[in-house]
Amino acid sequence: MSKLDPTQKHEQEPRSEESTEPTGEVGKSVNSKFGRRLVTGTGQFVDDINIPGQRHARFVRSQFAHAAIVDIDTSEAEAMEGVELVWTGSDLEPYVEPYGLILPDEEPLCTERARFVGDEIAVVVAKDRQTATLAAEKVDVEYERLETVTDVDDALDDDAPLLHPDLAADPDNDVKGNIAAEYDLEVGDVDGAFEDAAVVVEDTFQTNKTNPTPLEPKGCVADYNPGEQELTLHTSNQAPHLMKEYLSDALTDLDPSDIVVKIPDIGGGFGVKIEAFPHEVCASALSMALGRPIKLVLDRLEEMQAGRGRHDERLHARLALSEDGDIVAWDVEVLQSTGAHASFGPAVISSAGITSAGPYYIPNQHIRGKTLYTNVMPGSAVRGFGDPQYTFAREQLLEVACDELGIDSLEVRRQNAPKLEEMPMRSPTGINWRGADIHECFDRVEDMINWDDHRGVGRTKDGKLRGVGMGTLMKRGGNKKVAGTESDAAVVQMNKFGDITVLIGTASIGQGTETGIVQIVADTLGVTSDRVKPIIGDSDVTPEGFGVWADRGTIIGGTAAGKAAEDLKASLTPLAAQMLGVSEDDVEFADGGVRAAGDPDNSVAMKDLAHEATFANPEDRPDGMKDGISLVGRARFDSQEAEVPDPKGSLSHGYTWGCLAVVVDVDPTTGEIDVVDVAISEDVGKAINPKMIEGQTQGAIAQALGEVLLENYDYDGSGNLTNGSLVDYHLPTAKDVPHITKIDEVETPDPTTSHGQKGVGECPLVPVPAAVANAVADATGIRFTELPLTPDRVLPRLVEEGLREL
Amino acid sequence: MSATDTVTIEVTLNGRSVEETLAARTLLSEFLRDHEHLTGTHRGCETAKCGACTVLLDGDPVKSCNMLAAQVDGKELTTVEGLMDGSELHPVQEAFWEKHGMQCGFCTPGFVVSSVALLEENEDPSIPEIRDHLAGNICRCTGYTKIIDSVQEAAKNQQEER
Repeated sequence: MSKLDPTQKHEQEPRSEESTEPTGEVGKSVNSKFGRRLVTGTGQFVDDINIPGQRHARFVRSQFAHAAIVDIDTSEAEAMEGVELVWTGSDLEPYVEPYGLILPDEEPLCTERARFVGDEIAVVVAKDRQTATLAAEKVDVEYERLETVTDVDDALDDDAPLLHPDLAADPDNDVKGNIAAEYDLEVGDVDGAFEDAAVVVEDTFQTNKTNPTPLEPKGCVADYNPGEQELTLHTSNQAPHLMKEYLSDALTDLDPSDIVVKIPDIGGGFGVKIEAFPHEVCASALSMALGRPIKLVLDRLEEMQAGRGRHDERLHARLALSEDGDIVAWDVEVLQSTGAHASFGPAVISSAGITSAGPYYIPNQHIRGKTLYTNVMPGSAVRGFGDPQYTFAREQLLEVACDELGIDSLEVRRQNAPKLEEMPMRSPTGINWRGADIHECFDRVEDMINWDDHRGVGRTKDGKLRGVGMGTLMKRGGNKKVAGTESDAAVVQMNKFGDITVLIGTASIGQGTETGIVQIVADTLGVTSDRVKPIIGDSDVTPEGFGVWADRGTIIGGTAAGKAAEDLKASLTPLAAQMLGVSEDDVEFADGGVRAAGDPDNSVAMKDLAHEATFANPEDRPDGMKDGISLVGRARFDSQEAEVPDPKGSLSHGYTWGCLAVVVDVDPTTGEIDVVDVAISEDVGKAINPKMIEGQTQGAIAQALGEVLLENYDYDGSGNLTNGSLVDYHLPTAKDVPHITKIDEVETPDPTTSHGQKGVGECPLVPVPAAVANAVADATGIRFTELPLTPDRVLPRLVEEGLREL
Repeated sequence: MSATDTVTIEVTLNGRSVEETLAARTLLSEFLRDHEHLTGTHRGCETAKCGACTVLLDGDPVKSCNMLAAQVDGKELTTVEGLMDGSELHPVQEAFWEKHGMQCGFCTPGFVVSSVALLEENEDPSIPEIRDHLAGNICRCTGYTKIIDSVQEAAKNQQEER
């Protein structure tokens, strides 16, 4: 089969020489555009917003994982001084309708039953947060407990209680029992490939339910103007324009055009701030009902119980290799616990399913999955979006297969990953692969981590069991929505003083997207980044865009902004040519203004150009500009291939490839795992801001190390969360993670983006669980297939294998 | 103590004298945010675990979500807003910006304030000393490497200034 893909017609630019000093703004480690206000505590987060006349709302949450709501007595709470009202689901019902990203299985307040501990049952409005909190405790809910479904086995049991019996009975959707959605993607001849393979390995892997825990709890201030009949929602959310749609899906009487979303500074997102959540829907409906601003900010306990997190999945996976190390088949069945709502769950299986073979060309693949309702906190989008789970299974099976064949796993990785020269190409599942060189990444990581020094070596001087392991990534960047292409529009404008602003519908959750976009604009216009101000997060002010998720901000938004800057440049070029006395072709935007090509002394500063464009006698301007120059550039950038995979196809705009290796020391007395070194190389296309890429990379790896070594939602058999606070749920601190400095960027440009850039922020997290498990296996000979790798799991296995020491 | 009990406190807050009568149950973080509008002191967990609400009490870092305002009567408080000298950033703030020791910025005031206290005590801390000192603060974005780089940079710059 030819791997070449004639449908992709891109000229691949060569990789630039290493370590050249950037001449423009792109490639420089520019400081965060918002950094000064953030280090001084003068940013504005949602809890810092107070609108005159506002009231404070707090939820009453379910004490039980699965219970019918028999009665709610709100009288004592309502009688409290300072309490304005208490609403239950039936009070809210006229304002809302069932909603959900993929299935309409959500309601902002439970009407008949609660489906997890922490499910929203009632909402209290009071003069201040403290009063609302105290009143919420006085709401008396009478429950009738129902049998609980806490894991995927419970959910699939023939006698399992159904979480959503109405949906299961409704012929208009595909919900069957507790199965919210099913997925099946098959390419090639999977059965035949397994039959003919030299080695077949298989195992069952169990990943953990975790919470990415952005440090700022979610919250909003909803402000309905009854005269204007318009709702303004200030909210901690990653996608201002999409929020208008999501919110209007949930609110009966509001269309997207009736909603304005304003995003303040956001204290982290990681995917769990995309959907419309109950606090946003309730606050909006309450503001409409009361004609007052309603503030509803969650606390950490609420975030732990109900704030959303990563899906735990059980993957039964098989991998087949030929005698000479070709990976010939990959077969995986996923059982995903999605919690009480489907939310993004089906997409977490399918999006990551299309790319689940990672960077390997595996001709025969079968990916199946079931999204299962369970009585636990719903899952959502989380950094990595299904990839860490598949990767955990795939990369471990690869090592096991190589062991059986007696061949080197690094060589097998290289052998099965396509080379840059083979691109553009189509993966067997239909992904458009272009402009990526993972082979360079393999070489650099092997070198940085000193692979051979640690592999199969045994012990450190202080008696720890040492090992090294690898994981790989081939991560989607810029996912399409459920329907159609995805895009960002941008406006770049200049005022009469030469000050430049870029308006874009993104949000700032900390990654530095706005700074990267500013650099792209500055680079295009030949000015420094301090001359460009980003204006983001306001759905009324910024042009349409999809926000920050799926590593899309710098790819899609950045490219749109670059194009808008080009548009502004084109509108100024005739005037610049006239002022410089050269032809338009000889106008360069550089050094903070325009200059004649080849003659840097013949130049005009941007402020003088702006002045000429706005104040000078119009009659002196070039033809076609006499009645005004807009000084506004605009553009939209669409992702490629609007067709949504069904089930084959290219889901994303582009793909980021790379690999990561870790060195671990396992303490044979305690079972503790210490990650002592990490090295990563990714082909990011173009490092727009190397310092921020490093920061994203370090942060993603540390976040993943928390998930691998520390974190796990611990529900008991009744669905009670036993570690629902930061005291019991351990997030990594500065003492728990290594200094991460071996970070390398390969720069093979993506031919379709403004500067060749690809996605970065989610990628480094993906390979970490696999790499740690592989390193532990190298250290101990024991394969751990269940996350997290906590001492209580590791130590008994060390005992079994005779490795425990006292 | 009933819900209506009040207490009057006098504090020196970021160098200025403040006298205020508050509900006795008012937390220090609530006093700062809701009464003094110093919203740089953030609420991340309200269980003294994350450190986003860290302020200096007579120069020592404390978690303001875990103390009553009444406990600071007669004392000196510094919040993240009080670290600047006019329009000049404190060297620790400057270093966190320059070395990219912050991303979303929500934990940053707590880390900055804790780091200021560390450098007052120890002008040239080692990496393990920095890790120990900052273990009471949680950052979810940076993975801590650039926070540690920032503290070291601030230490270097402060030593050069002295």
